[in-house]
Amino acid sequence: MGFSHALPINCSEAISKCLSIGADGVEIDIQLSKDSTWVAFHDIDLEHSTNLNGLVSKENWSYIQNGYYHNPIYASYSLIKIDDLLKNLENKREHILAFDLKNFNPDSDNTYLQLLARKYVELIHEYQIEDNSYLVASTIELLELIHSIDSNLNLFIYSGENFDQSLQQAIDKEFDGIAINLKYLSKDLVTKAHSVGIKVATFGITTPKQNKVAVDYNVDYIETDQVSHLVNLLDTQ
Amino acid sequence: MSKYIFRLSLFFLSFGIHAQKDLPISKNILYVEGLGIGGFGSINYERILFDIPQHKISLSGRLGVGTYNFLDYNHHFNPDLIFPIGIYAFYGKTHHAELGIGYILSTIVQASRSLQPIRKANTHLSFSIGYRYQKNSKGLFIGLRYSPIIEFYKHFKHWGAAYVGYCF
Repeated sequence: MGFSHALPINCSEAISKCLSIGADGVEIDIQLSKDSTWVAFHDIDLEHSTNLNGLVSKENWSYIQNGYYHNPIYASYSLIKIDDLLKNLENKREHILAFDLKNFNPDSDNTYLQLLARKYVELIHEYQIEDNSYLVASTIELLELIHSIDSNLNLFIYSGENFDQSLQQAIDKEFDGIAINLKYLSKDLVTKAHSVGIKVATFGITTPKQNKVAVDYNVDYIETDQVSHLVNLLDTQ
Repeated sequence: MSKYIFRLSLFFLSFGIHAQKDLPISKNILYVEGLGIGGFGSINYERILFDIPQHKISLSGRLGVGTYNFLDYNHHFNPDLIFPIGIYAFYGKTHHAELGIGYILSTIVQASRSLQPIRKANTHLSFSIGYRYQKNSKGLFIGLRYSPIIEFYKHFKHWGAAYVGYCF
């Protein structure tokens, strides 16, 4: 009775809820299906969290659209395609849309990366969200390909523990920022990135205390599980 | 003939003693169930439908309501609702072994493709085996159930419940 239940990440209900609470934006994991439809989905395979099997990159949207998440019990929150989301999301140009491109295609090669890059640029142009969106990816080649198609798009490179290496790559490749887990971050590193014009997005935040740390570090974007707390925290500042 | 009369007398005598010793079972129960077929929790009314005291067997029906969200994803009051319905057979005098079957009606607020809130109603099935403490007289009612759910009649999920309530 009255227990709140977590919505599956990347479902349209979770995205809408996040924005209705007052968040400036949302982070959405995206994968390209076999028939080149952008699907909001986080995991490597569909089996773990949905009623479907296989990889997004190996299935067509006609199959994926029948998918729903296993949890919470009795609910059947649907897998969504980004087109549906962007068509129907109110004030989409007023929200920050952070796309995290997950490439789990085992046959990924340069040709496939070119397809991903082209399709991503088409998506951003179609919905005219160039200014209020950014892409996070771990593959430098992919980011370079996107940058070569449209150098105005906001691109962030994933950083592991080696912040300095990622910072140098972002500078060299003219990317806009770095996305890094809060546990690898410090205030000094954020200041260092800002001093050379590189933005910092941080993730891996699950507690109110971590929200406070991220705010104290002065990062540009905070991806948190504690949305209400962060909204209230920033409102009081 | 006298043998039969004697046996018959004993039968009625024993029934009379039994009836005098055992109060009629309290037929109504209100209880709160944690987890269980109500989802994450439910409030329930249970009614004893059938009782055979000499065999310590009872049959009951249950109706409840549960929710896990009062607000929908747009932050409007629009609760998810779960209605657990169950039939339980239990054996014992105070400490009972229990078997049950449950039917669940859920109406969950979800988003349409166009992001508008819609209510999706579905039904599910559950079976249960458990233990309940229930005296014939008024008073405390507690128990535990292993109650796996066959969600949408397709997906088997291990599930369980603990409950506490009052018989009257």
